[in-house]
Amino acid sequence: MSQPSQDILAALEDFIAQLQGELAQHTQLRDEADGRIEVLLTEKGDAMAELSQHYLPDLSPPSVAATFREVRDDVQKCVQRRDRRIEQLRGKLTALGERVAELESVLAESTKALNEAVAVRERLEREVSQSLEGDEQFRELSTRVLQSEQELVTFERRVVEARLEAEEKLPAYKASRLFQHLHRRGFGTPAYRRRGLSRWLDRWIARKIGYARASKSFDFLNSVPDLMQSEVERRQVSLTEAVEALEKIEMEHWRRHGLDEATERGDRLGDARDALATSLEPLLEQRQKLSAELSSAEDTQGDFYQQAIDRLKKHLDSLAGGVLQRQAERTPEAADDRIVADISWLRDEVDKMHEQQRNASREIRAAQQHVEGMQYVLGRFRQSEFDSQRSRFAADLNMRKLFDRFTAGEINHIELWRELRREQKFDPTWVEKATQSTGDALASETGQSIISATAHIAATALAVMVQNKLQGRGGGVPQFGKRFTKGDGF
Amino acid sequence: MNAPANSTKTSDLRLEEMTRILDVASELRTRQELIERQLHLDAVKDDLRKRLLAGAKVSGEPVTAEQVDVAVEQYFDNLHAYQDPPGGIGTFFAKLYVRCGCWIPMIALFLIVTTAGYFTFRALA
Repeated sequence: MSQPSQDILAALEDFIAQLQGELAQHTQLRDEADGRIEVLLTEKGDAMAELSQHYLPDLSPPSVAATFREVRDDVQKCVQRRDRRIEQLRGKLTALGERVAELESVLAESTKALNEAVAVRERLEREVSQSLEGDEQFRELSTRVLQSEQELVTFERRVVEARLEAEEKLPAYKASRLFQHLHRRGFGTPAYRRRGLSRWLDRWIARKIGYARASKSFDFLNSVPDLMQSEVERRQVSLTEAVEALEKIEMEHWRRHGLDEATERGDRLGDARDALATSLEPLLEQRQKLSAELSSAEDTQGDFYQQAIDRLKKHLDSLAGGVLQRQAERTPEAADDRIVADISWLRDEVDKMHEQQRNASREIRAAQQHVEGMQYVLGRFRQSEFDSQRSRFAADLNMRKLFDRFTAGEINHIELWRELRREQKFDPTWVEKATQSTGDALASETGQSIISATAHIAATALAVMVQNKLQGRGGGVPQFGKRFTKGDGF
Repeated sequence: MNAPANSTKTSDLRLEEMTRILDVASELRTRQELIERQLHLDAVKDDLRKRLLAGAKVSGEPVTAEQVDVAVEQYFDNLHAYQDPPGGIGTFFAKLYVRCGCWIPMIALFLIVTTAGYFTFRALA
């Protein structure tokens, strides 16, 4: 009994899925190792920084002298850079301070002069105010101006109301044929020329609609809003003239008391002071910036200190664990012993993770190769149409054993494929079966006599078939046992 | 001899011109008064309210200040409003006359209507 191809195909697919699962597992292990290594390296970096700070607490000469010989020169250079920078900053700050002090002194004087000018102005303003109060012409004019201003506000509102009223009521006049007829003819004016029955009828209509009153209202609505507007504008002009006259009187009093000159002087002083304040501001900002930088440089744990620490950290990182430990034992404090112990443990953990990473990578490579190999076999399986229903495999073919040999590396994917191919064959089609049995029958004596009778028929049928094929008419002629594919499977 | 005749003519002319000038001045004055009244309309309304209330008090009319306010506002709201006369035979003929532009169609229609009315009356009688 042979094995059906579907069983073999299922076994191949299951095995590929199993290999892919193993590949995924190894990939996960490797990723976990990567993550863990990152964390451990960060912790080691922190421990190194702590140890560096322990061995170099600051940049003072005793601390620098006591530090590791290998980095002493570099640390010393940091100290020198720091000292140079401090000197530079102090120099700049001194020069800047002098400039700021100079400007502040000038500003103080300017402020004093301005305050005096303000006091003078206020005194003169009071005098001018009293003087104006005593000026009868000014008093009357200012009262009138105030009243006119208030009146004008009311009048402007009235003009708007009048226009709105005209907009609301005029359409009725314009829409009335009767009214417009009389208006066009100029009824009631010297321009009216009609006589006889027309005149009589016009009068009748005028009485009917109350034309005398209506025409007056019509003229009122058409003209009065514009007249009101003109009047308001005229009063506006008068008001402007009155205000100018008022200002003229006021200026006269200013000049008399010297307030105009005092105001002008005050304005000049104010402008000068503003310019000084504006030029001082950036200098103050710069001074603050330099002060902050100086503070940072003078800080025993500032930027230069950090540079020294980074250098020391790099050196400690390069030392072997044993060296660090001996160094820690030499010092009396226990803090560095603890830190070195942590670093040692972290290094061991990192090494373990690296090993795990390497193993996982190796497994991944092997698994990938197995997966690719089996996919090759599956591809060839399908290409060779071994998955057709007529495809059969030897009954004693043990796929599990083949897979084990493959994963153990005893055979590769090519050899596995060859095994499969060797154990495979296609069942014959019913046409092939018939031909085979006919062949057996024809081998007997009776068969021989039939051959000659059917030979002519078969030859003719064959000739027609060949002819049709040559002329490309093979599709129209049914052919028994015709293959659907290029292979033998279908 | 000419002087007296000329002076009469001159004085007539001057009189005519003066009258015309006075008319113009009078119109200007009237117009200015109208404008002032319109610009001070609030004061005019206040004055009117006060006079109405005083009048009502004298005549014993039981009218309140709010009622007077409403009446004054309504009066001014309707003051220059216009409305055509209500519909009727007269209004119809008036509009016909105005639409046609002359009295002939109106008279003709009037005669037709009256004649038809007369004969109808006679027939019924």
